[in-house]
Amino acid sequence: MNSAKHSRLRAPAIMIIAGTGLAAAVVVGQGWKAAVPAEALGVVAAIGYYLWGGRDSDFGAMIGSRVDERQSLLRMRAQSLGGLAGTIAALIGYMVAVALKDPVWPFVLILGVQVIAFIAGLAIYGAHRDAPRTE
Amino acid sequence: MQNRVREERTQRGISQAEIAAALGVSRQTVISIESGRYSPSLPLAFRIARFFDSTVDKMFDPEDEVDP
Repeated sequence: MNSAKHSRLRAPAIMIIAGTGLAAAVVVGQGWKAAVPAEALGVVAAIGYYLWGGRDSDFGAMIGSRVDERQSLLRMRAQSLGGLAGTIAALIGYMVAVALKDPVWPFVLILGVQVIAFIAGLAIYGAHRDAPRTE
Repeated sequence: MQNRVREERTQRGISQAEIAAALGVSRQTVISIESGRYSPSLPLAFRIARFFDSTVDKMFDPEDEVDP
């Protein structure tokens, strides 16, 4: 029970940390006043995630970090689709930036990270382990 | 993949929530398995078979089985 409660807090905690990181960036760029909405957004998102994470649904299980094998597969497929969409968006952004002679490094960075993460994923999850042929 | 999960469960008067708790999966997954929308992994298939004192080949029938 305790472990389930802790896992339900994982996503909200990440939201708080991300919101605080965003707020810190806003403080540096625009000052304290502008950072308050950014932090508030993180807190609201964290509360929403916590409440949603308690629901008896597939999405609730994913938010609450208590997925079973089917929900894990579902999440993995959705993440894969999200990754593919991100790659396509970065590629389009790169082409537009080249055409407009704008800086391309953000798109190169995104595409580079995705390519490296894909190759690392193959290595980590065992695609390099070719089993010897047996007759 | 066709299976006898719903049939066996209703025969025993067990709810989807009860079998989900016993198998360590969500109620939504039990629903998906019963409706044939999700084929469980081998470990889960064995857990289901054991739960009903049966065997995997009796509980599950791959309707689109491919000849070797």
